[in-house]
Amino acid sequence: MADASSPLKRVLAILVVADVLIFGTWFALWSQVPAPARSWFYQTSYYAESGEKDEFGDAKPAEEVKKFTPGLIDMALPASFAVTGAAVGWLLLARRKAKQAG
Amino acid sequence: MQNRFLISIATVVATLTALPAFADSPFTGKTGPLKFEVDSAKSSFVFNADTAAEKVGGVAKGITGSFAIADAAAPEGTTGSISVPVAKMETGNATRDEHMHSAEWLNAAGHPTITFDIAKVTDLKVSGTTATGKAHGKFTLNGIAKEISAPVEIKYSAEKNMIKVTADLKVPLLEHGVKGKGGAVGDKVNAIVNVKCTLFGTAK
Repeated sequence: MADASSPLKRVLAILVVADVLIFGTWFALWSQVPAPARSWFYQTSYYAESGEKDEFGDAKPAEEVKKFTPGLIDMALPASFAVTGAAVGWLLLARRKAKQAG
Repeated sequence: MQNRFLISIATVVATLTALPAFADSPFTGKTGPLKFEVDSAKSSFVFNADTAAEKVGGVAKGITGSFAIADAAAPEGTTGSISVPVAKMETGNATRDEHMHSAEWLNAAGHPTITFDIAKVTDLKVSGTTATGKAHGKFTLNGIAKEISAPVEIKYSAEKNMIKVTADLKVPLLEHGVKGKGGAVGDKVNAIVNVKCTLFGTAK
């Protein structure tokens, strides 16, 4: 029992750390984009009003701001699923090896 | 004496009736025809679409066109033509842009431009060098033209000899034959796309 729980605990700890890194990085970059321009998909640029005035004294229309933002749906979630899948696969393999050895 | 009085009254009436010709136009002090060419670098075409997942916003670059005012004292006769290249419409996500330009959506290969031909402007209300009203014309998307009318604002700067025209358009995608992949328009994507045109024109 001790042999089986140790790898499980280790894998769970790795998964938690990996997910914190994945979703933490995603959130840190995503939250830097102004709320109306935020997307659940990756963006290489977004459009926002600069606050500058045009020749007529009106606010300038939305302009392109070059900034990479990872997407939750197309990057963070697939990365998390991939890490979780790899961890589960590794765990099953370890159990099978342990059974064969035992 | 009576004649003098009548002449004075007639002069005042004539002056007052002549004034609105200038007061009803943002092109203060100008008469006759005016022509403006759209400044591509400054002008923008910002669009917003509601989808099941989120609001998608984007900008079209490379807008070309012109405006012609038949008589500066009567801007109802304003006409114009604006052309937007579909391939230059961007949302900041290359994958999404590729889908938007594809034949299932805006069909950039088959119909490379979106055009708005303004035939007239009605319901003009003038305040100083700004006029608001309704622009009527033909909006062509995906090769299908539809008559539309949209609220428009025209501002004129005599000092810079340029105009700024802003218009809010509501584009019905289905009426222009844009159905989206698997009929997504009207289901996962709102059938109406909101467009804000901000066009700067410099005098020709």
